[in-house]
Formats: sequence, C-alpha cells, structure tokens
Amino acid sequence: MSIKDLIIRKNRNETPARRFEDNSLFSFQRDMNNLFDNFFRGFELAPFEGLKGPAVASFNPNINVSETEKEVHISAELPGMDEKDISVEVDKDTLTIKGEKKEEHEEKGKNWHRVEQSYGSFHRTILLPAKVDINKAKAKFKKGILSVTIQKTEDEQKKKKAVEITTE
Amino acid sequence: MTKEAELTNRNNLTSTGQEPRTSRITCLPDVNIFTKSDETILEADMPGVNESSVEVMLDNDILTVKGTQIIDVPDGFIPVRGEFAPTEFTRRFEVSHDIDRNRITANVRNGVLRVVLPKGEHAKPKKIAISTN
Repeated sequence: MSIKDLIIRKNRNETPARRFEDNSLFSFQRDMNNLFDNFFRGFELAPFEGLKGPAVASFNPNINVSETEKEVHISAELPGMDEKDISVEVDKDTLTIKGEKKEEHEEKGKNWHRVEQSYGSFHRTILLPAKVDINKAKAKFKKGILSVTIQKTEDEQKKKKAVEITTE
Repeated sequence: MTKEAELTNRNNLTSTGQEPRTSRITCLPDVNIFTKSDETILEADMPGVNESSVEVMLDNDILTVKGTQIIDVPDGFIPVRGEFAPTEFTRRFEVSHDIDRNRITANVRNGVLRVVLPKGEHAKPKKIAISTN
C-alpha cells in the first residue's frame, strides 16, 4: 500500500489505477524515490538516477494546492499530455485527477538511447483544504500544467470571522 | 549520438555567480533520446515552460537546454500543500560530430521541449567512384 493511498477517499470502491498498485514493494520503492527526489530537488541537486528503474517509473504527477478565503486552487504537472487524456472530478472536499500518459515506444524505426520520461495511467485523489461548491469549478490545461480553481461553499467562506478586540 | 555532458549541472552552471539568485530551484529535466532514420530527437519534460521561457544553446559541442517554469497561480493564494516549487530546468549534452549544427530545430508543446538534431550530409555513407587509369 502506497503512503499516498492513505488519503481518505469518499468512494471507497475506487482504487488508484496505478500500474504496480498490487505490488507493495514497488509502491513503497516509488514513494521512497519520490521522497529522495523531493528532498534533493530542494537542495538544487539531481536525484539519484540509479534509483529510478524503468519498472517503477510509472507516471505520478506533482500537485500543488493553495487557497484564499473564497477559493481553492490546484495545479498539477502533466508534461506531454493532451487535455483530452485528462479527467478532473470534484467531490465535496476531494479532487480526483485521472488520465493516461501514452507511450509511443511502439513506433518502429526508433533506436533508443535514453528513456527517463514516465508513462502510464495515473489516478490521484487529494483532500481539499475546505468544502467546495462542485458547480463552481473551472479547469484549464496550458503548457503541460493543469490548473483547477474551485469556489468554497458559502458556509466554508463564513467560517472565518474576525473577532473584535476591545480595550478597557 | 548525444551524450550527456554533465550529470551535475550544479558545479558548471550555477556557480558562476553571474546570475542573480532567485527562489527558483534548479533541476534536471527527464529526457528521452532516440534516433529515427537520419535524425536524433531529444525530448525533455519541462511542465510550465513556453516558447519564450525556453532556451536551446549550442556552444561548440555542448548543447544546453534551459527552461523556466511559469505557474499561473492567481494573486493572493496561500499555499496549503506543495509537491513542486517554481523550477529552472537545465541540462547539458554533448553533440557528436555527425550532427549538422546548422539544421538543429526545437519546439515546445504541452510542456515538452523537443529538439531535432539531423545527421549531416558528411556523416552519411557515400559511395566513392572508382576511377580507371
């Protein structure tokens, strides 16, 4: 079981469509790889090339989440994908990004020297920082980055209230 | 065909001290390199890069690909969780002698930089005519 699979999902029947989901060793190794990658990214160092074997390099996009009082914004890195291959679903407080990055390796007459880009289907569900209005979601795909903006529910927007400070 | 010149770009590219330091992080983009008939193709994953923020440079035998990620997060949003920071993608490759330097082309689509390096006429097999005395 992958660490990321521990995120609460509303629909429990849905399992992530990852290529090596059944193999706990692979998913653990992938998580460890991600951990190393992120760690070294922060230090302006290259990740260990040797750790990324082709067998575990299934595609798993990076996601950023930010918010204002009224909206939630999510951006995901999806290089080399077309918008038609991506699907975005919003639930009350979760967002699911699904898709498949297609491999073009079958093309004949190609002589490969280096393969580092990863392919395959991915499925990520993330917990949003607030309850959102599912009818007020906008998504766009540009330059290999998916951005989704969703409005928070009215209740959620009202949650924060400035407390008046009085002086005696 | 196209060999990697430097695996660590850290010592050679960022230690010059000329570029102002920003909060951007530098990272090596994932690349696919393959040859197809008479050309070598290099594809680099650079999500968030467009035509104006990418740079492909050839200096002697060293091809440098560079891209600055632009993420359109509207103003006023506070990060809640992050898995990527604004990135500067840089990687250098050594170009072999059979590539025609003048015909290298590059384009960007959906966050992937594609550089086409055609084989020069000089590198193609040539039949030498036999002369009679």
